[in-house]
Amino acid sequence: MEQSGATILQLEGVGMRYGATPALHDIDLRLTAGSFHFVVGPSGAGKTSLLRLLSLSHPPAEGKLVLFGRDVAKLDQEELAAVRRRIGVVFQDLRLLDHLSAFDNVALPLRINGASDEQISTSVSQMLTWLGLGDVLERRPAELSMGQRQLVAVGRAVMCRPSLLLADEPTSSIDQAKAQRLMHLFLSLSRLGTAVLFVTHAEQLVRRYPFPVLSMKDGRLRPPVPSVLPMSA
Amino acid sequence: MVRLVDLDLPIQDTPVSRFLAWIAGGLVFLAVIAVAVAIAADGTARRLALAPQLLTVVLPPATEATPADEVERVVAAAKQADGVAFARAVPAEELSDLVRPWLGPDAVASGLPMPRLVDVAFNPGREPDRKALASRLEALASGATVENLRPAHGEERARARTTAELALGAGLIAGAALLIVIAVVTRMGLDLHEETIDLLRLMGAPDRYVARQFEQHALGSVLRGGLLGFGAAVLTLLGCEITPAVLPARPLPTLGLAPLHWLLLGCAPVTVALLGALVARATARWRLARLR
Repeated sequence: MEQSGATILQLEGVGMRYGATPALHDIDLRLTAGSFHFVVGPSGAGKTSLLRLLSLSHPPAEGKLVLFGRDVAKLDQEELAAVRRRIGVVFQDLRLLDHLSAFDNVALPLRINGASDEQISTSVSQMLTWLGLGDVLERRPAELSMGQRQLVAVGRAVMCRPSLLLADEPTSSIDQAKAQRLMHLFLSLSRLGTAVLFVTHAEQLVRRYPFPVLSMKDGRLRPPVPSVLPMSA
Repeated sequence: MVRLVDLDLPIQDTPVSRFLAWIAGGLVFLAVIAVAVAIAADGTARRLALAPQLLTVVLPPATEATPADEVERVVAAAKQADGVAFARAVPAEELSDLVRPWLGPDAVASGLPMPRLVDVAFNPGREPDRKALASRLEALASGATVENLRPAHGEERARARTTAELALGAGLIAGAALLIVIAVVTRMGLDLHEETIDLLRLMGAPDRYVARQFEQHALGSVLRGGLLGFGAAVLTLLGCEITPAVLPARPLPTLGLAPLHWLLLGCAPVTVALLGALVARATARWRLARLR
């Protein structure tokens, strides 16, 4: 975990394309350890593309992307994998593995990190119980409600306490109480040094917390603006 | 909660992968049978190579003028010939057995003039000098000839060697076919699960982690199928060993496998499974390097 204030992520004039179609233009951004940013914008503004770029699932077409002090363009496969292990992602489409139980989906990052079976058993059970999924550990995604699936996806993203958490509308399918609980989880991680980038359409949620808001439109990022309302919790 | 098989990818759910154990079973069965036949045929060839070469000295029927100890002198002279292991006069009962199919059971007893025979066996690996022996014995017994009345071992030995080579080749082809199948199944699995592999990589899984999934699947499937195939092959081979012994007519030769041979055959499923795991890992690593 990075020290609070250390630069986690830096983008300098980064652009991204899907084939010939440009998706992001000239993005400049710097995130520090323990920071929390909301990302807002209309559909098609480039929010998900930004997260795809930052999760290293799509390479930049131009500019410089530095993660944890390393220029990702210069990383070999092993180094790239090591950098990715420090990033937690809640995908908009969740991307849970249908053949695995909720437990095994959440356990994936730990397995990839080489954790022992005992460690996995304890940590994953605790996490799922905390998320209110203690009674559905062995159920597969198809046997869970949409809200439960979203919680499993969040559990998987935060399981290894990432240095950078990218969450694409993680509270869109859950009720307010659960959303509050998740926000509490994200804030706790942020206090522990995780840089959080939270993509959302929920204006109420954005207004409730005093964190900078990154607004996107037409693949461009506007300078961060502070949230107007004080933190309610 | 400890998982028995550490697979994040649903490899075993792929139709081709489901059959991998059965394919492995069939091919290991064929390979074990082929290698067993090769071992048995090689053993036969070795036995034939060590079998003594036999010649038969044929003396004309005795007359009144024939010395009484002519046969004994021929036997003694034959024993002193170069490379001869032993020589003996063929007893009357054996002679009677030899001519029975043509002359009937009482041919010898009825006083028919019968040739007298002397068996001469040479040491293994010695090529008998038939001409030298014949001229030496001719001097002792007028009209004595040296015949090769037994079937030649050379042809039989060559046949056994060819059988051993062909069977070993078939075994190796079965093993190689299995490794090719594993490579193809791994390649198909990688293509089918590309999306899941992308996700694992996005979560920081290095290529060796993904490759290990395919390696473990291949190891488990081939070992399971291989042991089944080996079991079936053992039953078949035991059947081949037992059947000739219990059948009065003995239509089949026994394989004559030694404990060491059984041990070697028992290594087949484990060896193939380990090789299969290596092939799966190498194929996965090779393919993943190209999937970037």
